[in-house]
Amino acid sequence: MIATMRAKLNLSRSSYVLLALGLVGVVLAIARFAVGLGPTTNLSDHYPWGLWIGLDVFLIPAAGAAFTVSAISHFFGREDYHKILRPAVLAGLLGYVSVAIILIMDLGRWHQFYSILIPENINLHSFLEEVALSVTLYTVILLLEIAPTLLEKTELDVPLNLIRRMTILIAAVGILISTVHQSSLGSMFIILRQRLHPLWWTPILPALFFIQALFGGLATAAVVVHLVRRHVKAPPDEGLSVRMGRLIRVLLVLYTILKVGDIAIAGELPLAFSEGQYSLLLWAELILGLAVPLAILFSRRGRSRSGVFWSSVWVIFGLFFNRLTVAWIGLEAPAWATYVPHWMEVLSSIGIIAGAVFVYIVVARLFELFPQEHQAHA
Amino acid sequence: MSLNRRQFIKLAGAGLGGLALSGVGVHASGGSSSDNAVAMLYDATMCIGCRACQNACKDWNGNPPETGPDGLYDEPRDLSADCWTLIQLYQDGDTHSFVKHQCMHCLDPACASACPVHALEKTPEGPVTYDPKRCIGCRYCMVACPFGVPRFEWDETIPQVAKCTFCADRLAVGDGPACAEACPTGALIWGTRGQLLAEAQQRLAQNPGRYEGLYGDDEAGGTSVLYLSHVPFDKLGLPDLGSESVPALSNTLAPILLPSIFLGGLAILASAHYLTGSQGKDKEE
Repeated sequence: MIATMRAKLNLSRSSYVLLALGLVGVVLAIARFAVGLGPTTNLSDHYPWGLWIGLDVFLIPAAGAAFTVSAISHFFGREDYHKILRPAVLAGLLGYVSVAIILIMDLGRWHQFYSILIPENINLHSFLEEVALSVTLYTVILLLEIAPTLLEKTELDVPLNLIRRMTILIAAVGILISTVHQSSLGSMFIILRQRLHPLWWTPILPALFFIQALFGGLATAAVVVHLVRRHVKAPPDEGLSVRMGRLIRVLLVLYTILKVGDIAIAGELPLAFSEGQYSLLLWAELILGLAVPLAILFSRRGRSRSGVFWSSVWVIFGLFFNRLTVAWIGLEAPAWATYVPHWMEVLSSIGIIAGAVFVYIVVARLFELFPQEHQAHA
Repeated sequence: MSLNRRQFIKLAGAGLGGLALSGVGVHASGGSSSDNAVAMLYDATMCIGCRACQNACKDWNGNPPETGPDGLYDEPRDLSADCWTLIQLYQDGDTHSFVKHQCMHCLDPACASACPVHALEKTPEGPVTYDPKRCIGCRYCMVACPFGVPRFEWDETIPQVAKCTFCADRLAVGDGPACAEACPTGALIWGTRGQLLAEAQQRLAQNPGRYEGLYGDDEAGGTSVLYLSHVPFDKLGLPDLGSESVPALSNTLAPILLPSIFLGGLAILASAHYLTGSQGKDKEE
């Protein structure tokens, strides 16, 4: 049986590299829990938040692949998106699991994480509490959403049928929780007005964060589906890719208007040129994350699968820049304080994400991510 | 520190004058609840930089001296998990001033609003207290504090957030904060916030040319540590924060935003579901 599984897995050399990196991540996580944050990170009193929090704040909208595709296919009557629901939900689940692992590594008093669940502790004014509760609850929702994929060949008919009957309800709860926490993730930074650079601080952060989760989630779905189809040798769906590209394009235009308009209305346009590294960071996310993908999507190439794939890659890149700036680099510290992530922070982050990609590949090999097409073939 | 003797005598004299004032009574009358809560008043023109407050703080709270690699102790340069209050000297040409840093015990603290689990709380008595049994170590408080006060025990495997407690444990048994009780010049006094505001206003009225102004009466919505200084406050590391409390906007948005986004999302989903007629179609999956 192991032999047939191995034959079915047929892992490539690059998969083993991912596995090795994932194991390094596990070792570093154990080291961090054993000796604390001091020796394993370069965080300090003036840089209490760094790479790990930045990555979490980036991975949450990227993992929005699940709720965006789920909303479009379940509630907006787009049957064509149904075909990519499974790969999108799996990407979302592994994204949120990565977020949870990195978050718990970052928590100084991780052994009391349950504290966020105790009713008398809950601070309704804290947007972080809302995000923490939502991430926990939504991870459970994603597990329920992926359960049919993992269990359909088993004998567990009773729980499976129950989950199947509740599909639409589970999807609705997942979408609502996502809508709330994706925007709350932005609201978290409203209280940091004194700390966050004015080019990024704005009262409309919740709206900006939510729209980013929509196009960031769709871009992740486009990239993941493109790669998985190639990996499991499923036939590409040119039409769906192009329709996703058009949707991403609309959302990018909306976001660009809000982002640039907000800076202009706040009278902060001169800061785009006068703030040294902060100005550069702004231009990096405006050009790489918005102008380049929009240029591709408005060109002829944007009406092809590879055009949508590459513009999505740029979108994710820009999102990465933006979120790391909001959660880490843009939080001002005294001029004499410095923070460059410790190699263990960097390597553990790479390890955890590599591990998640490895698990994705294994699941994609062992389970049916494109069931409808498979039925059509059979 | 290049204080010449004349400046020293002048400061010491001011200090002695202040000593007479430091026996402010503890009776308060009327006013808002914050008027009756405890507060401290630090008059930078009376501080001689002796650091008795700093050492009394270390003693009472059991915080070890931050020795260097050679085991020798020197003055810390910054607040830390072992240094909850710090005297610093500001000097620019002929102008100089000491300044005392510690938690400001804001009337509407950003740390307590940010904290997901109520580990940090503003008590009615005045202090902003910390409960490690609730804390998850997320450090949102450290990022949210506009004064950059909360510190973290980075060297501990299971660290705590560390900051001035306003000696809430001493207040509970009727004593004053260790730092204020140790101050030999009366530069640092404690009492109810109402009394100390009145005292500060009186000093401003009696010596109009002496002070730059009063800090903390309405800065960031008001703080429990009040400052009088002859040097602009931003030079002393006390930023111009306006009179609105730091968490005001966030506190206003939280109860509105969460339910309205949830209900809005629900309405959009329900109407999309109805309009596209996709009810029931998903059940096969």
